[in-house]
Order: sequence, then structure tokens, then C-alpha cells
Amino acid sequence: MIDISSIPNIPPVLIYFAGAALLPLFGKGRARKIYLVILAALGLIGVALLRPQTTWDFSVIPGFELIFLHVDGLSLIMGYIFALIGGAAILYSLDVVKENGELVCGLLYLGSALGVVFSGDFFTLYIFWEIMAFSSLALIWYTRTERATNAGMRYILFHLFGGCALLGGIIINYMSTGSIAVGPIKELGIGYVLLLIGIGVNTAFIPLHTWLPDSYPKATIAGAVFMSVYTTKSGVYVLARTFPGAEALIFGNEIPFVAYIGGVMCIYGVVFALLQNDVRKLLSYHIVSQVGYMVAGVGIGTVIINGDITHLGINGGIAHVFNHILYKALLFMCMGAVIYRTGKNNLTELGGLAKKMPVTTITCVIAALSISGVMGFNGYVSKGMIIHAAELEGLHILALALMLGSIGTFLSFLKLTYFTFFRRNGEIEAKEAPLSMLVPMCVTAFLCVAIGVYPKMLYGILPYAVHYDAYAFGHTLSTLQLLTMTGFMFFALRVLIMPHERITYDIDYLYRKAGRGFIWFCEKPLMAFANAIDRGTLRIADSFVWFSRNPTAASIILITATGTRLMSPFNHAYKRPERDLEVVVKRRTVEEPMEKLSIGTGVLLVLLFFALYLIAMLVHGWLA
Amino acid sequence: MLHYVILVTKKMKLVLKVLMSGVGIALVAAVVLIMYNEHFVGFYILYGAAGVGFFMLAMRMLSVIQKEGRQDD
Repeated sequence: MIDISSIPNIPPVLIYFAGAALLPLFGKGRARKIYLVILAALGLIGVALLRPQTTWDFSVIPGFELIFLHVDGLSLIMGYIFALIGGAAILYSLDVVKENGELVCGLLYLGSALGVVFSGDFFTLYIFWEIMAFSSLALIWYTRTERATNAGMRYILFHLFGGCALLGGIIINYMSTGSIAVGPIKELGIGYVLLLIGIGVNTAFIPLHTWLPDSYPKATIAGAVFMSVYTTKSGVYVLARTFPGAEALIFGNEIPFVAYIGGVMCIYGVVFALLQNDVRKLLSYHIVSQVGYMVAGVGIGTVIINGDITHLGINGGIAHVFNHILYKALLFMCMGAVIYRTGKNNLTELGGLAKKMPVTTITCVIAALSISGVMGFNGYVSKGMIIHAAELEGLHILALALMLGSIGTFLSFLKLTYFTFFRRNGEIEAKEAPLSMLVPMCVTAFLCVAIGVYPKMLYGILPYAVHYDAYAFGHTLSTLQLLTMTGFMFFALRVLIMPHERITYDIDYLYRKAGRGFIWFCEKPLMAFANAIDRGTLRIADSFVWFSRNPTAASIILITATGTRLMSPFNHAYKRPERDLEVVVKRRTVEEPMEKLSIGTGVLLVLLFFALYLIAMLVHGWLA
Repeated sequence: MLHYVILVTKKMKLVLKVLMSGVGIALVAAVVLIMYNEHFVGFYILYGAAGVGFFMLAMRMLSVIQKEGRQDD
């Protein structure tokens, strides 16, 4: 039952869902803008007022409780950043979004992401997980192009697959543990694997990531800002709840495999980002890469520092979620503003925007420096935590991989900012983005710098106590050396990473080939087999109908035909079996009326059957 | 002759400036290196260069499976 004492702690999902339901009443003018600003503020206040360690549960049957609101340190920090950037995305949408439907879907998406974060049981989580998938799909389809429609179909196919895996995992886990509470999964088995796959789809594990760079660049301008925040980060949150520091026995050693999955994501995403020409596709690959850092942090889990067990890995992962949401949303806002003003989204067509869009340029440079982990910006703080955790845990290869990711990220964002804003391009025409876009961009940029300069702001809301000094001399100096060298190399070799108009294939090429093969298999061999089965069944059914019309005549015909066929090889004098068979069929056609038996004969036959049955039973019993 | 002397003097001044700056930077670098030598093993500089090289190589290799044309579905 609903706990009355926790009524003031309203699940934030209700605020956004109610807001989405009422939105169409405000039309499309000034009233809608005011309403959206109030809604964004209300959502933020709703999350800010949540008290830790409170729950809002609903008992379905004794021992089976659905928990719609479960507030603790981990869910609270996620709630803060989701509501904060949700507010920024709503402000950003004010002038860009024309259709109410798109805003409704954006609000449902935001609300359901908060639903996932604050759900205390797996079934509630699953329901919000699916709402999130379908509402985000609409943000792709609202672009209303054929490419977007196709990408949306691929997106939802992936997420339905992930959802099915998650549901399967939840059910198996419930059957084996008897609990649906969201918590660490300890029972190894098929449920463990299914849960990992289900979460892995949303978290964009390699090779389950292809939906992300495929669909995000095709979403609407505001839709991409929403999408860059919620799906992957809610996946990381659930991963932190269910697989913190997960290890598996590989070649006789306990390996933190989730952390290594993060390392692979980190480098893979960067390599593919460097190849991109479409600015939003480049950013999408960087989501894969940056989520890799978060997954690595969560996978490392706890770390022993001076004999004490600390949660440096999880803290680092969650801190990176917080920071990444800020700078990635800012990057999508900046690139959205560029696309909105120029109508161009390829690096080969852009350039020379620094003087025409100065505020956008400055905010984008701040975001680029943040994501690259430059000192004084928020990315530096959380990346450092994760790399430090890996080093302390003795995962030196992982630490090197994450540092390599930093080099690639800096290289990639030097490319993005240089070719978008600073390269000379006299042909481009643009003016600064509207104020409603600039305000959220400036606020987000300010937060990126504020957290970078004063990281204790972030430390204060992290779920566990922080044992880390972001500006330790050695770490600062090593980062400075690494990034200075990367910057120098970029300007020396920038000709080699010039953007080109090229088609880049990812693993999805194989999926699409396999998909086409599967469709061909369904349409050709499988359909031929189905047709053969269909025809065979019809023939059997026809035979039964033919036999049932006159069983006596049909039996005589069948016996005669069988006898004739069997005897013909042994009787060489008998030359014309087919003709004689036709004569029999003509003489005793099944069409002629069936010979009727008297009731007495029928009763006798039934009694005979029962007698045979009794004899069989008695013999069986006697033998037994 | 006078012009030549002025030119040589200017060049000398420039060379001296460069030399002084170089000596200054070298002195600062030496002081920092001596004081914080544990952080200046050159690993991060080398790793930065190697990292850029790795990405250049990876891009070159992946360009083999790229196709000319506009990125589409």
C-alpha cells in the first residue's frame, strides 16, 4: 500500500507524465513556452525535494511489491542531472520544436528515464525502460524523412531485442532468487547473461552499439539533445546497480570483464569518431567512447586505498555520467544550433563560423575541452578518477587504454572545432543561434567549468565518500604532457585527418547483410518448405474426406490396390494391374451410398471392441 | 657599409634573444626536471605521440573498408 508518510516525495516521473498529458491544451504559442518553463522548473524542484532513503511502494500480492520511488545516493545524483539537463533541453526546444507531439514524446522520455532511475524493483524498471525506448523512437521519426524512418525501425528492433533479453533475465533471476529488488546480480547463469545483454544494448556495449550512431544523427535537433542524455546513461545506472565490479572466471583468473568491455568501447568509439564527417555522427561515436569510461569505472567497482575499501571506481563512473551528460548535451546543443542556422551537418561543408556564431563557438570549445579531459574542465575530474581507480586496482592495460581514449578524444575534438568554427570558409552564411538556445548552452557551459574548477561541488553529491584529489601535481602534469603532445601532433598532421565525404562501415554492415540473408531465407527456402507442408497436409485431409465418405468401399479399393501392387512383381503373367484396378474403382466408387448396418450389429461391434479392450487390459495386468 | 653593420647588429640581437630565451627555458625545464624528475620520465609525451600514431594508423587501415560517397543508410 502507499506509504502516507512519504507523500511529499512524489516520483518525478508523475510530474513529467502529467506535464506531457496537459501540454496539448496550451496550443503552440507563448502559453506553451511559459508552461514548459514552469514544467522544467517543477521537475527540477520535484527531484531536489526528494529525501534520501525514502520509498513509495505498492503491494501487488504479499511479498511482491512494486517500488515506484526508491531514493538513495546513487539514484539521487542521477535524478539531479537528468532533471537539470531535462530542463535545459526543454528550454532549448522552445523555439526549435514546432510540433506538440515531439515535445510530448520528449517529456515522456525524460519522465520514464527518471522512472528507471527511481524504480526499486525490476518490473517497474522494465516498464519505464520500454516506455523510454518507444518515446525516444518518436524523437527520431519526427524528422519525417525516409532515412529517419528506417533508422527508427532499426533502433526499435535493437531495443525490443534488448527489452526481451532484460525481461527474460528478470524472470529467471526472480525464479532463482525470489526477489525482484534492483540490486547486484550474484547468481551466474542464463539470467545473468540475459540481464547483461539487455542492459548492454542500452549501454551500447560493442557489438550491440550500432543503433546509436545510426539513429542519433537522424533525430530531430532537439530530439538528439534529449537522446544524448537518457538511454545510455540510464543503462550505466542500472549496470552500476546490478553489475558493480563484476568479475568472471576466464582462464582460471577472476577478470573484471565489465571494466574491460568499457576499455574496448572507449577506443572503438574514438577510432570510428575520427572517421566521421557528419558532426552528430561523430558525437554519437563519442557517446560510445565516453560511456566506455563509465562502464570501466562501474566494472572496477571498489578499490582498496591504504587498506580501506573505497568505491572509487563506481564514484568515478557515476561522476563521469554526471559530467558527460553536461558536456555531451552541450555539444549536441551547439551542433544543433550550427545545423539550425546553416542547414549543414558535414565538416566538409562547415567552417568559418567562429566570427558568425561566437557564443556557440565559445560554448562548443568549452564542451570540447571538457570531453577531452583538459584541466579546469569537468571531464578532467571524472576521467582522472576512473584512470586512477584502474591503476590502483592493478589494471594497467585498462588504464593505458583509457589514456589512449583521451588522446583520441582530444584529437577528434580538435578536428571538430577546427573544421566547424576556425577553418576559413567564405561561402558559409549564418547568424548566432536564438536566445532560447543560447541560454541553456551558456548555463551548461558554466557548469562544465564550475565543476572543473571546483570539483568538490560534484564530490558532495556522489553516492560514496570520495578519496581522490583531482589536481594532484603528478596527475595534472602527466595529463598536460599527454594533451600538449596530442595538440602538437594534430597541428603537425592535420592534413591526414582532414574530413572526407565517405561512407564508413561499422559492424551494422554485417547485421544488415545477415538481416537480408534472413529475409531471403524466410521468403525462399522457408516458404517453399511451408508450402510443401501445406500441400501435404491438404492431401492427407483430402484422403480422410475421401475415406470417410464410404469407408467400406474405400477400404476395398485400398486393399485391392495394395494387393495388386504387392502381387504384380511376382506374377509375370499378370500384365495389366492398373486397368483391373480402375475396374474395381469404377465398380465400387466411394460416391455410392454407404452400406448401413442394423443397430444390433453396431451394438455388437461396440461390445466386441470393449471385450477386446478388457482382454488386452487383463493380459497386460497378468503379464505385469 | 653602415647598412650592413646595422643588419648584422640586428641579426646578432635576434640571435642573442633566441639564445637567451633558449637558455631561460632550458634552465626552467632543468629546475622542474630536477625537482619533479619522477613525473618527467618522458612516458606521457611518448605515449601521446604513440597514441596519435595509433589513431592515424587505425584510420588508414579503416579507410580500406570506407567507400567514396555521401554517408547514408
